Amino acid sequence: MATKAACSRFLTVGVVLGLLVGAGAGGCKEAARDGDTIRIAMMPKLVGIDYFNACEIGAKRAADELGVKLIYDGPTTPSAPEQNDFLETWIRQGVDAICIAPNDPESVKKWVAEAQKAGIKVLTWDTDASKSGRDLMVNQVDDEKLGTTLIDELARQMGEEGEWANVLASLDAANLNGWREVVERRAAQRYPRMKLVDTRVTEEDEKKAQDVVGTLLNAYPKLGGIIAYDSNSVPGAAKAIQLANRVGEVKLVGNSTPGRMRSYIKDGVLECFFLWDPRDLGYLTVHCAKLLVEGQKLEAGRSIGTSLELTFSSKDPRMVILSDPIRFTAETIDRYDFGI
Amino acid sequence: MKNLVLLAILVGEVAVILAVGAEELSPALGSAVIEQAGRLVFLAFGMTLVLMTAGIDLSVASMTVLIVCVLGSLLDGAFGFGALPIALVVGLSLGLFNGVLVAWLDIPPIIATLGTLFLYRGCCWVVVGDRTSIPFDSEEWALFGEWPFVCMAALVVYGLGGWLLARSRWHEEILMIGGNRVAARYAGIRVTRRLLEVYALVGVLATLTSLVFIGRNGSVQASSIKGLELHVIVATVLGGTRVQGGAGSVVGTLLGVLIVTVLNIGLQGLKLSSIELPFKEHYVRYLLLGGLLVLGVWLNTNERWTVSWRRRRRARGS
Repeated sequence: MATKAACSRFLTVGVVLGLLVGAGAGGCKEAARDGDTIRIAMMPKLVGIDYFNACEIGAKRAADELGVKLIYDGPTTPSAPEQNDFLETWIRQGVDAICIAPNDPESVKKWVAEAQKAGIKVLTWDTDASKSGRDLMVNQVDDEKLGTTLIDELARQMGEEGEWANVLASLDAANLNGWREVVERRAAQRYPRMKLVDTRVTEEDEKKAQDVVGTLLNAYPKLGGIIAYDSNSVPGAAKAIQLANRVGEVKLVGNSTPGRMRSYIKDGVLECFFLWDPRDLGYLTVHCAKLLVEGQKLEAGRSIGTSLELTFSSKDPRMVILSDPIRFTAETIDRYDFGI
Repeated sequence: MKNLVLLAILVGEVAVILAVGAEELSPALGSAVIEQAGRLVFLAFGMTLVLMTAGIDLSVASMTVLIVCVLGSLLDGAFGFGALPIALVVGLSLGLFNGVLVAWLDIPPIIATLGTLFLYRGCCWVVVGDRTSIPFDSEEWALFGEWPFVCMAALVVYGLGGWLLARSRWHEEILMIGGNRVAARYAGIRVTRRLLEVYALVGVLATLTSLVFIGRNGSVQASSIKGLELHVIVATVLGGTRVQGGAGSVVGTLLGVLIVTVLNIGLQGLKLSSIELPFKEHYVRYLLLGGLLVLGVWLNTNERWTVSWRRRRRARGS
């Protein structure tokens, strides 16, 4: 009996060691390519929220048109280490291009370098990792323009006076914090009678945003305005303002999706919000990735699909801009159907 | 016997993934499995010992991140290998603190480490402070995230550790504490001392894990790898270690870690296969993980049932 147990233990250890060594040796080999199909791997900050689902719709449309194989996957929470796991797996599989919306630009540096070493084109989209040496950034909107639009809109609604606060998904996301910097800089320069009192984090979660803003409203009874930077923070904040009976008293401006905001905007909780077409963002990203893989030159004015054309940022020659922010109001909201 | 069942599960899993994902997945299943197992494999060894004492350590993820945060901030991102002893001291003291709570103050382990789960995570927020994340200049440290290091370290921990365990009185004492703490004390086992040692060891293993983390990631956030402790527990319990204490196997734990990691990587890489799946991979990730855990626990209890049945039959025969 004892020998049998010892025997099985020995066998197990042996097989595991064999597997490990074999696997390790296998890891040194490059992935075998099959055929000529271009394979593009695309990762959002997280999967399962409507904004990134809409991006996926556009990306899939582009992939179908172009005849490329698209992988669209990512972590279920906005986690940087988990994103790195996906990057590693894709690099080992030998895809042709990786498009990533990094949750923390610092965290992906190593994998961007590793991917490029393996001959994979790396794009960032939605949010940037500018210092990572990525080949291209596909930006939905010009950061400067969106930040200016947000603070100008809030200032107009507040009469350029009073206390206001920032609410955003995380302090790590480069895009949200880029806009926040523009907003804060412009507020300090242009609107001296507006006072920034707080900045709160909502972790890409609408319910959490509602709680956070509820606390914020209690803490600052004189609060006159909120800028919310992401698709979960805006509806959460709107709900909290409604529950606290401060509609009209606290102005809300931000970026969210028409589907989530329709009822709030019809109820008059907020006057307007901003967004771009996320489907076009996914569409443009896949197109750019394919052009890069094929080694084609990306120049301003080149038409993409039927309705888009390449526009470059004035600050970064390796950054493509999708469009100007679209302003949604109770009157115009029904004109847009983003599928979200 | 139980380990053979686990091995069969692992081989089956690999076979299914290879069959669905074709040969494309095989390179990814190599080095990536080892590297991504790195965050579980050391903590799971510690968790196995803790579970043997009928304890639990929920603070492992917080502990690991805190070590990373302290390293990153103390040395302002650009640290050499001189920082290794600091990491070790931090890890050891965090583990010891858990041990003190459990062994000296006699707080139930699940409560004590639930407390330190939040406490250590809170310390991370304090250390990170107003910065969004702590970046590291990790080029020197990158080797800790790569498969040769992870593989070697795992071999040392499991090979040497497992071998020492198998022939030591220490191991028997740990199991006895888990089986019956009072009886162990009456038997002359220094229960407090042993518990301190076990929890401190988890701290050391967390240090090892923090090295792997730094090797793999360019920065740390106060909220990084939240929930990792649950994956560690899944891997350990799947490996056949009893949560009630008094039994466990490090070989089983190693298999559990591999099963969990292969599942994750398989799902990450499955998208490339030519077969169109009718669902998105992330829909089933937690389903399968949960399913595996339930299966593992069932196999555990089932085996105990088989053993007692065999014993009964033998008794009847004699």
